[in-house]
Amino acid sequence: MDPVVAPGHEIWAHPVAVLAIPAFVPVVVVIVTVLWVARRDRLAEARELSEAADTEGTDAEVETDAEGTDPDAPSSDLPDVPRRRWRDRMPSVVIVDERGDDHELKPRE
Amino acid sequence: MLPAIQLPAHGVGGATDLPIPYAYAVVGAAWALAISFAVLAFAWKEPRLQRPEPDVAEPPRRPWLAFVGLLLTAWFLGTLFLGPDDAGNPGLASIYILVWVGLVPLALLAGHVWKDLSPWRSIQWLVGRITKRPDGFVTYPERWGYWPAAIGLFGFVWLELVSPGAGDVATVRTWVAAYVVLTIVGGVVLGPRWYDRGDPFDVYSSFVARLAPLVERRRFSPHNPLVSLPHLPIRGGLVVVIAVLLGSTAFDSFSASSVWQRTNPSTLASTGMLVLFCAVVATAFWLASRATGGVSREERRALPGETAHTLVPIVVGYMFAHYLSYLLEGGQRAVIGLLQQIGLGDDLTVSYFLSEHPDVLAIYKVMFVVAGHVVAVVAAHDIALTVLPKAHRLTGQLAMLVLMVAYTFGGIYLLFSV
Amino acid sequence: MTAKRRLALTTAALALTLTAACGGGDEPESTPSPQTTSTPSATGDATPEPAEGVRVEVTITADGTTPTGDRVDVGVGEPVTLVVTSEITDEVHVHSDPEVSIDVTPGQTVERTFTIDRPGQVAVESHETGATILQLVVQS
Repeated sequence: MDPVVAPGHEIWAHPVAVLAIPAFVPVVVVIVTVLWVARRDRLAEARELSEAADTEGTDAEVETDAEGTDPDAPSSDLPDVPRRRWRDRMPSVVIVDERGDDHELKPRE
Repeated sequence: MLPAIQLPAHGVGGATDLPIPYAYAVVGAAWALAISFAVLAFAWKEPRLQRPEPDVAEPPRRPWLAFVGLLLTAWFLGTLFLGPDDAGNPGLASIYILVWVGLVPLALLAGHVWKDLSPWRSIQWLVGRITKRPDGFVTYPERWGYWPAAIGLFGFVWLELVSPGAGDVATVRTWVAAYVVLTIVGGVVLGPRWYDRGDPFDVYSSFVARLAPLVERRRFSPHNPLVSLPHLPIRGGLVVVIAVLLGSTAFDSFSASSVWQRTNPSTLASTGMLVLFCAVVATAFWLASRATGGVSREERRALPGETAHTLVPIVVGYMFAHYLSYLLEGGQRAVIGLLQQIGLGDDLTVSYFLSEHPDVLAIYKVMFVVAGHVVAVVAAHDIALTVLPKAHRLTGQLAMLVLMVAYTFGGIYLLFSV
Repeated sequence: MTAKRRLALTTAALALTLTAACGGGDEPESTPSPQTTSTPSATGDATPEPAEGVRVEVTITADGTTPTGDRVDVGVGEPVTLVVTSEITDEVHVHSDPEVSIDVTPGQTVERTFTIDRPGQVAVESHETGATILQLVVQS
């Protein structure tokens, strides 16, 4: 005797993965978008800061100056070193802390 | 004659809700959440819901409501303890349906009216007057936070969902007697604060009442409930209280699955599984709320508490989704049973509209889950704008977004697949 | 799909009951009433079913029940017949409204037919062992 198990009412009738993939697609899209926007904002902000730091420089000089003057500052996002781009995309890289970190980007005395 | 109020092992009466095909519901709900988040992320850039709580003293308890509360308690407990000794005792349904589930709509409609009704507060007030110790004999220890309430809530969901005696009058009488003694002794010794932080039902009601749109500080005052929600006091055990409420609802769904029932689980195994569900909910939230950059160690430690109120709408959503037919149909049976105890209501019959229209029921279930989650996402986004450093306002919410979608996914999956 | 499965179940149960019937102990009162199986869920090929309703064999021992926790599709108003054989004294509770309770004693086979009037999920439980024997998934 094998009593009938009603299909479709079973907890595993739909494999979780089959449902999870379509369910999480927009989440992945949102995450990628947010990370991309955050990176773009950080780059823009860092550029502004370095421009402010180097008041005399041109755009091209800003990049080299920022790289040269302040290698220890949390400025790994500066768009000057193409080989760092992948690292820049990583969400864990904290680039500019909003609170009071801007002075660190100024050239050291 | 009494209507038979059936309470199977997990305490949810009789025919539970009809399962429906749910693939669309699961995927659709996840999409709704992600889209809500996306809209908020790019259209809602400044906090709008965070306002200081008005510096107004909490109004006193209303005597007429305290009187009503005493009458209702006498009626419920009288039925439970003096009524029939079998599972048909309407006192069981009164506790499981009217008190436990009914508490949520009551708090949503009338705010934290539980504080006015609570007979235990009335007894404490009376004893406090007689002994001239209105605030008890010992100060409630600050570090206890909400922990006594969390333990009490776990005790109740264990009774309802795990205990082999869930439908057994003697077991429920024992539990209720222990609760009454603890609640009165705790209140007399520790003062009214015991009820604000230690009484499981009182605390639960006070949490849900933060979402009442018409009532604030227990008086009629229409307002945006999302503004009063962040005023939920942050104390130790806050996340645990909410995790017990959410985890137990998920466990209730899971324990009705044949996967689980085929194992014919022992009480110990069921207890372990209930603890596991609550622990997973709590841990996942704790981790997700802390997953942000740019905060100091102390700030990070404060994040789970600061954001825990955003789970309250989810609790409410799941309570309605999970218990809707139970509340409306079981509730009717409970009320009729209670009326018959005092010689009334013999000609009343129960309307089973929802059970007879399972499609309507299913739509409401999905609506409640999605609505609870969307409200939670709004609240979470707003508090994130306040507590997260500007550079991490959005990235710091991503872990929480994944968690919220995972909750929705898992919640609807469990709700409709068993 | 449902119809086929139910058909399979019914025939399987019938065969078993026929063999079990020789052992005696069947209650004659449990003739399935000739009801209209207006179950839209049973769609498709209108295969005539040899007997109305759903029959399930249940065995109870001190260690547990067979089956345990299975799902069975039932139509609203469709007769459900439980054939319970037990090694222990037990009560089988069908948590419908009103509840159906089947008392069994060691070595006896008890047969009971009932109907469920509303859609929903109805648990069939063994009181002594605490096991959920079946979940009847009732659909209109």
